Amino acid sequence: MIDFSKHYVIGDETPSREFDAMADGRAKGLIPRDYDEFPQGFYAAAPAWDLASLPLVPWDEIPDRIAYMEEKKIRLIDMVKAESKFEALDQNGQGYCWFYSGTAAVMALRIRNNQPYQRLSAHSGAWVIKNGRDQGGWGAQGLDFLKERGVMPTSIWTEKSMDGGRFNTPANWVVAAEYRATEGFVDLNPRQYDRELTVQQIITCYLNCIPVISDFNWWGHSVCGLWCYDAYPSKRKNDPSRYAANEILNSWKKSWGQNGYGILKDSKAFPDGATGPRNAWGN
Amino acid sequence: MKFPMFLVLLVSLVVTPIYAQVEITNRFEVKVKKAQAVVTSTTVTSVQVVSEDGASIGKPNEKEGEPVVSNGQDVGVVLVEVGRPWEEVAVKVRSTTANFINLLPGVYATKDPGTHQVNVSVLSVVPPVLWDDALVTVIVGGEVPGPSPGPTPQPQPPSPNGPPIDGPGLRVLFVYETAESLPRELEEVFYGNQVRSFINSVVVKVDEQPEFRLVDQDAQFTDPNHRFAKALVRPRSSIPWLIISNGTTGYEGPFPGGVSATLELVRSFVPLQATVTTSVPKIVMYSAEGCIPCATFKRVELPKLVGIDFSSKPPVSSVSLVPTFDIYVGAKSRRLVGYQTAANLLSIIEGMK
Repeated sequence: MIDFSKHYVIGDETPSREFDAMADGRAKGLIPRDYDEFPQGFYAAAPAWDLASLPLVPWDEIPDRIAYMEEKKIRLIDMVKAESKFEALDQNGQGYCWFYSGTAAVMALRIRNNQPYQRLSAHSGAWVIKNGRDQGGWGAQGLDFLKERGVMPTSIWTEKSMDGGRFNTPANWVVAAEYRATEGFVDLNPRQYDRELTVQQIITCYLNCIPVISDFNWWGHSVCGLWCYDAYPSKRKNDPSRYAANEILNSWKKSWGQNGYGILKDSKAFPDGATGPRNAWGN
Repeated sequence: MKFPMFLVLLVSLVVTPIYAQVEITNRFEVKVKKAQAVVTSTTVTSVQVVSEDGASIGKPNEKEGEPVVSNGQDVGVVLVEVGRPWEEVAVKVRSTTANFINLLPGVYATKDPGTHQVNVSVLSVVPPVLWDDALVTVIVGGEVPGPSPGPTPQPQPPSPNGPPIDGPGLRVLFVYETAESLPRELEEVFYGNQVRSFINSVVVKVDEQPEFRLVDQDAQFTDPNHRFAKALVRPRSSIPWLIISNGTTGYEGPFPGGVSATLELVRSFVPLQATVTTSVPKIVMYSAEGCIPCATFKRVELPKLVGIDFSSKPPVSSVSLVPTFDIYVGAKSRRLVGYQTAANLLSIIEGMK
């Protein structure tokens, strides 16, 4: 078993206020997606996982590939952490986590692509979707908008600002279009239907340096997932609980966890809803 | 007696759909039409009898001549059709080579001659939120192709004989498919710090950003004439694909292998002026204030580096961790990230000689 003592961990054996979403005073904003009303593949821009377009990494290969990428430091999380300009986002106590998780994913993709660094203002998209109200949502809802219209840089929509009357202009949205998620994104299986498949999809994304926008119902929160560890190597390779240590990037400033990162373990590890944007707009 | 004459020119713009290129977008339709400003001149002769003190006598006698129609300037017209009231949408028609004026809702015209790439963006300003854009070509003047709609023009790639990426200096593009797993030996090439740091350190920089990108083969660019967009439309025979350009020549092809082979290939295109040539081995350490390993290195290891041209600098943009060491021996260079012992550095220098 891996020693996670140097990480900030939220797991079954590490009591934390984060366990109890309702008791925690910080705003999160996740509204659990109703998969009956918004089933997998509901969003036109988010087709259900297509094995032909992104083959799943076989269970047998997963432990070796995890070890290889960790050894070589070629994970997306390595790239993001190595970008000195990047700092965890801050949703400023408002219920916009569901757009912050997608915005962090776009920023991570841009780092992966070696594109010019740009801090993005997630409030821009969330404000427009909710018409200026401080309301919750879910990750796929935010990412749908991110693919359609993008997100504004903080240079044109001041970070954490609710002043949509000032910043919500067509000209600004033309700029925001440069910061779209593209290449479609895959709508991962909701885990209540097939937990094994969901975990295999998440790990496949990570092994291909694709961030996973992850909605956690127990937390009432949506964050950007970046890596799963081979936490319990004595378990079977196809046992999802073997990989139940999911390192995420939160949107509660860098003062949360370790510079904004934390590991969700065990029963807290895997999201209830997830999407994986494969790419970001060029230039 | 004076008989002032008034010449009245009535100019009407007649839009004649001679040529059209059509791009159908998801929600909006953008049409391009070539047109001409047809000038209709009508002479009106007015005769007014005026007394010597300037008073008009009687009504002026006006006589309108025959209208004279002449072909005027060629005009390019972009027609944007939306299924919603105009007050609910914002339309932007932009081109770097032509100035468009908004004649009517959804009608934009330019008289600037030439072939123009025009970006048309339509954005709803009230819910439901819709967004769409299209790239169209507007030709003003010159030969007029047939009337049938043609395909959306693709950006013109550079000449096959020229450098594969426009612009002077070294530039590198990794092209791959994000929906496919990379071959194992290329994962470190694409995502490892060694290759990324090296290439970032040797390519030219635009706005301080190294001209090195990893792009999906289907990556979309706002500007189709962006140098990387143009490089992306060049023919490829496989994926992943490597493009290197030093402004005069370059490489386009599969990756030659793993990290070492890729670095060697990129290094072979580094312009001479970018290579630090030195007869005395040189080490540049990038360090930062408060970096304890950097201070330790200077205290413990540096005194052991005899015969080495050593300097310490603040980190540059390609350096993400401190300490980072750049080692130069002759025309060879190597970058090491993290704390190093003097023995290790001297051993590496020996190996580079």
